[in-house]
Amino acid sequence: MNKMMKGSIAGATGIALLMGGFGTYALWSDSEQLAQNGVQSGDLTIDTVAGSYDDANTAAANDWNASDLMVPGDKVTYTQTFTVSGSGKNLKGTIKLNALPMSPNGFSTLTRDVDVVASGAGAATITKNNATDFSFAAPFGSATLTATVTYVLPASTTGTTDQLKSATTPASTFTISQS
Amino acid sequence: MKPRIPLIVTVVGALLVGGATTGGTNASWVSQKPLGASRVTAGSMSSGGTASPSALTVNRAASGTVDVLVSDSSAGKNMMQRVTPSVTATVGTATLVTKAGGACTTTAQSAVDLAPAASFTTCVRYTAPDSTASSATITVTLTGRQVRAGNLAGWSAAPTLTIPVTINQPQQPVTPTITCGSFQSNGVFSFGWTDRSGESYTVHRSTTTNADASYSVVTTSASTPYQATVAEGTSYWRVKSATTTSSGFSNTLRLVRNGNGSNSIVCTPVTP
Repeated sequence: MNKMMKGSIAGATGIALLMGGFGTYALWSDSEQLAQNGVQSGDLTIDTVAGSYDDANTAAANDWNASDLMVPGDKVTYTQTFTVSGSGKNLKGTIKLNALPMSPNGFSTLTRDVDVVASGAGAATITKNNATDFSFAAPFGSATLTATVTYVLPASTTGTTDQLKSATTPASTFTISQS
Repeated sequence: MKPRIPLIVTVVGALLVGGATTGGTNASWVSQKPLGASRVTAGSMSSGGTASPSALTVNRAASGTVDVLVSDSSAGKNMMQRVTPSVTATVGTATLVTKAGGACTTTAQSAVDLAPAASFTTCVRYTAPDSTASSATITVTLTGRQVRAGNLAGWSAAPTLTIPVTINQPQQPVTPTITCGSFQSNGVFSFGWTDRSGESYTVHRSTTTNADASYSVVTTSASTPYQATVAEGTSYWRVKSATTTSSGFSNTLRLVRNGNGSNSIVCTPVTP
């Protein structure tokens, strides 16, 4: 490389360095933060506890045992409570008990009825459509649904009718669904 | 290659639609819990009676008693049964009275409310008829009605209990036949009849005629052979047997005494 070439390279480098330093100090700048953000989901749940029997003929609570025997005039209930919760801005849906029919096993006068009652803070948001079906058009927070199976052996049962018979209502599914 | 483009578009579109649908399904929350199975069973209502003694033996026109233990064999949490016992007899009369202090009273038995497994004792008082009936059957009916809050309702039943009765009839006296005996001593002559266990014998005598109205009792405890004291002249003799009742008159013997000595008394059966 001759001296002319070397000098040209050095000169160009010097000019480049000078131009670079001039540009950095010469441009404006500004900044802002995108705020922290995120999302959270709601819930839709149903829970329950074991049910209990009650002799509706007495004032005492839960005073019927599964092994007790009915006589005409008796009303026996099986009650089970369910806790439902539903949150989420656009939540709506249904709550349904698929109550299965009773197996009367020879009973001729025994009657059975199934009914569900909503209570608690969210009950006002839940609409009862019939004995076992509910719907909600908005999140309701939480509520309690009390399902009661009522068995009645009428006092009008005469003679020896319906003695030593057993009737069973099989387990039924309580479902809460978003729609 | 160009003809394949519509096919590819179609496939991609279908996948997108499917995905959207799938996405919609997944977007719905569902939660389930079971309402537990429940079961009820009916009880029953019944009662039964046990007689002590299990059979009764009484004499004709006499009375006897039988204790009847009435037990409730019902089942049911709220079971209460009102038992109203009643009694009948095929012959004779039977009544139900209460039992107190181990003895039958004269108080008529009324209805009793029984819970399951409870019991009470009542008393059957039976009087046999004054007839020839040798047996009877007492039937105790335990009419049961379910009771709720003091009112009759619901189930009913009427089990029965039978008690056989043997009625002892008294021994019937047999009309004796008397026969002439022999001279015993002066003024004493014997005659006799067949002696039967359980019978007593009454000797009747008439010193006038062989007519019923003329006879009078000589003794009510005669035994055979009977030694009759015979007065001078003609007398008529006959006998009745007795148990609780009396037989008719036997045949008649005519005794004629004329003085003393072994041939002084002549005995002759009277022909009716």
